[in-house]
Amino acid sequence: MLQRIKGFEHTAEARKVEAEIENRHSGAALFSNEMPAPAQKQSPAAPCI
Amino acid sequence: MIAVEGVKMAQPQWIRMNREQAGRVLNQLSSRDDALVFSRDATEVAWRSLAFFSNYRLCRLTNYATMPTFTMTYLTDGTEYIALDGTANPIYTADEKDPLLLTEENVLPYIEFFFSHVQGSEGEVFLIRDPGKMPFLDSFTDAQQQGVMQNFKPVGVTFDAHRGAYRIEATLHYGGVLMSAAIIVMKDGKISFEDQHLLLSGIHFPDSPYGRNWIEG
Amino acid sequence: MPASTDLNDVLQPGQPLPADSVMIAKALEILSASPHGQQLANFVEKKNIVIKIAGTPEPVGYLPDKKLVYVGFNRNNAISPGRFILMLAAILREAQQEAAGIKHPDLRAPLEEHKKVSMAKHEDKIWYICTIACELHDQVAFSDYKFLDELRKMGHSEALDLYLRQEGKS
Repeated sequence: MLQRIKGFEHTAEARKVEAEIENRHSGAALFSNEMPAPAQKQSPAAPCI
Repeated sequence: MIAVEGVKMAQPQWIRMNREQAGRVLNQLSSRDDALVFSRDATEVAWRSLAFFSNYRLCRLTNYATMPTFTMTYLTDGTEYIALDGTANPIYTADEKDPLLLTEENVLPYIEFFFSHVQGSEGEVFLIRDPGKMPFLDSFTDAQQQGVMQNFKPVGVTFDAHRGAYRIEATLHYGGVLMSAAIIVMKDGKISFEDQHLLLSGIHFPDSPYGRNWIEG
Repeated sequence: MPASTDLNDVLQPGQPLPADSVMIAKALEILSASPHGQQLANFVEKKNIVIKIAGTPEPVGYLPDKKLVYVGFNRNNAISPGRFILMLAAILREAQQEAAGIKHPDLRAPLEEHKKVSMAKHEDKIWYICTIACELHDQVAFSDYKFLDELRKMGHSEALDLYLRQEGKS
C-alpha cells in the first residue's frame, strides 16, 4: 500500500525525519522506564483527554 | 541601567512526573471541552518553574505515540491549565491570575520566555544577547557575520519609574532582519515595542532558533 | 521599518479566520476535486473521522486516535488555505495508513525497525500530498492556491522534484 519516491532516502528531508525518529526513540526509552509492559501497539494509543 | 552581556541565566530543568502524577494532570486536562487528546500510556508529563510567577509553572505534555512526537505546553497553577498556542493571550491570562514578580534580574528571562512562546506573522522573535553565539551564525556569509557583529547593540535594562515599566534596549531577529528596539514591559506583563530600527536585512535563520524544526506533512 | 517586520504585530490577539467547520468543509470539498483527495474525503465519511483545528505554536498534523485528526497552527501566523489543505491531506493519509494496519512500531521496538517503518510511512504521506498537489495544480480553478509552491514552502522541495521526475512530470 505504501508509495515510494525514488531517491527520497537521500534527501535532507529524509535525514531530518531520521533524526526525529532517533530523538523520539531515545526520548521514549527514557520515558518508558515507567511505562507498563508492552502489551499493545502504541500507535495510535487510547485517548484519555 | 544593567548591561547584560553574553550571560544567560540557567533555565530550571524540566522535571518528569511519575505515572501517578502524570495521570492526575491528564485527568484534570481531560475535563476541558477544548482539550487536545493525548495517549495515557505514551504521554510524558514534565514541569518546570518560572522565576517571575509565584503560583504558575510550565507543564509540558509529550505524546510519544505519534511520529513526530506531539508536544503542548501549558501554564498551570495545578488546577487551571492554559495552553500556550503561540499567541500572547495565554501568557497575559496567566499574568492576570498570578501577578508577575518582575525584577531587573528576571525581566529578561520573562521576555525570552514570552518570545519563545509567541510568534508574529513573520515568525519567531529572537533576542540576541551575544552576537558570537547567535543561532546559525555559521550559515551566514562572512559579510553578513561582520554586519551582525558591527550592528549589534548590547542589551540594557532600565526601570522607568514614571511609567512603572521596564525598558529593555536590545537587538532582535525577526522576519529575516536584525533590528534594534526598546521592549517595554509593564508591571502586568504586557509587552510593547518602541524605537524600532532596521539594522541588517536578509538574515534568515534556516530553522527555528528555539529548536522547533519539524517539517509538517 | 517595513510594516511586515513591525514587532508589534507579534502582539496581535490572533488573526480573524473563518469558523473551523467552514475551513474543514471547504478543504474537504477542494480535496474531493482531485482523485486521490477524493479517496481521503471518502475515507473521512466512511470511517466517521473527526477533524478538528487546534491552536498550536507551530503548524502540525496530529493523529492521537485512529478516528480523530487535528490540524494545528498558530493563529498569529495563520497558514495559507493551500497549506491547510495539504496538511489535512497528509494527516488523513496517516489515518488511512493506521486504518490499514500500518502503524508505528511499539515504542520499545529496536531503532532500526522504527526507522524502516516510520520512514516508509512518511515517504508515503509525502508521495500522497505531492500527488494531490499535482492533481489540483492541473486544474485552473485552483491555480490561486499555488499547491506546488506551498509544498516547497512546507519543506518538501527536494521530494517534490524527485516525485515529478519519477512520475514523468518534470
